Amino acid sequence: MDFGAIKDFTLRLFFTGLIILLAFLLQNGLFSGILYFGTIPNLLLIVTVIYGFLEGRHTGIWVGVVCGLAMDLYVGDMMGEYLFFYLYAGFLAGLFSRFFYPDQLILPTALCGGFDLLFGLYEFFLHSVLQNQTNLLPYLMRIMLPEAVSTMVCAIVFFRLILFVHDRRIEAEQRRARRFV
Amino acid sequence: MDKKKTGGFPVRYLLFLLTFVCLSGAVVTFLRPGIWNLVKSGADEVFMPMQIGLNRVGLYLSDQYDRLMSLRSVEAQNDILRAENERLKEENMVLYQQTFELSQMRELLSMQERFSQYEIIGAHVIQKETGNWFHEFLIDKGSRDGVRMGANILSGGALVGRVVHVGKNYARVLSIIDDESNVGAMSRETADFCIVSGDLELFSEGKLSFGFADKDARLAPGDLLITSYVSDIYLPDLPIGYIESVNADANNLTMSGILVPIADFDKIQTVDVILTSKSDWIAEEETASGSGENASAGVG
Repeated sequence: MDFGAIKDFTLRLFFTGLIILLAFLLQNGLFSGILYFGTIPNLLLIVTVIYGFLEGRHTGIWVGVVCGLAMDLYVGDMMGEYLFFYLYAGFLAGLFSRFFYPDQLILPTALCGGFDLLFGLYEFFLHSVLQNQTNLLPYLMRIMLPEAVSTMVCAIVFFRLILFVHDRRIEAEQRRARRFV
Repeated sequence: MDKKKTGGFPVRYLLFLLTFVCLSGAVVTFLRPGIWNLVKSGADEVFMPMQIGLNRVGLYLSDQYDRLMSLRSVEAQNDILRAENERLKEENMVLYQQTFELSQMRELLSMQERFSQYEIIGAHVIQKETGNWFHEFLIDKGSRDGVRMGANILSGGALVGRVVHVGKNYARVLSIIDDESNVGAMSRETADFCIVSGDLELFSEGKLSFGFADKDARLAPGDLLITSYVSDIYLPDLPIGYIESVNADANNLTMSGILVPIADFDKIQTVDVILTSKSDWIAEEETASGSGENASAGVG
């Protein structure tokens, strides 16, 4: 293992952590309290899905683990509620990475929206169905759809941001590879 | 592709492993919430300073945002308040007028207290001329009750006419809006003299005309006209009405104008009859102030 690879890995870890931190703080601080506009976009899910989509299943799973664990630690009643879903969201989004090509916006946005709806159903199942609340429609109209829409809007911004970091990393790796070869 | 990148460690094993960790963690923390709370409180030590810092930034932003929003609402409010201001101005004007009227009414009241020196009886209107307006009407008090010719008739504290014919138990009253009626009047403020007379054209509007005021008389719209001392029928200080307009006459010597009577001639049902006549009043004044009479005679 050469020094350059370690440096790359550290940088990658640092920027990924920074983006996760940004999403976490925005989601739990800014959007849930101060700039609340009716619904909170699920930013950590966006980060998980987009990392999975851009960099494959492995990255998706690990980002999902970090994001899910952070949410569990911050809001969860028990370990695993968010972790489980984010883990699989990252993994499943990684399956779509073969459809990735540059200057693409619709698929990642739709993926984020779709996973957010799935997340809504997952939460509905965990919190409502198990408490004998089976009427989905009000939850769908009041919680899931607004959240999905706001998540898709934020997904555009986050996709641009993460793609920018991703591109810089690829460029740097390619430069290093050319220098050595 | 992923397999090659990560050195052959299959993704599905990683997934199974993490799923197992996740589920076992869920079971453990579900059965022992104390452990999870301990972990969470440790995590809060990390989260909270970040949240506090972010809150400071966020509060600053939300302050700016609120200021912007409040500016917009303030603008909307400004429009509302401006409209309200207009309305209040209007209302204030009405109130001002009402205050003015109130003070005038109070003056009337004090005048009415002054009437208490007169002997007054009430009477019902028992017959009126056809048509809305009373030119002459009958009251149900006559000579039996002490009503004499020329007795002054009040309604609502204001002059409405005088008795022109007395029967045993009735009297005929000529109201001041009648064409033939003339009343010596003066302005209560300036004591400028004029004559109030009924007007055929004006009585349909419920108004009177006045004339023969000196061209230098200080009469203005809104002034109260009261009966003058210069009369052998009407007692002094009985209110008649308010001046509506004043015009200089063509002869350039006198002024005339239009007067709105205080009494509502359309709806007179009961009236007050002053039994004290002008000659009675003069006799009373003379006996009441023998020395005052000399002074006023000197002025006259």
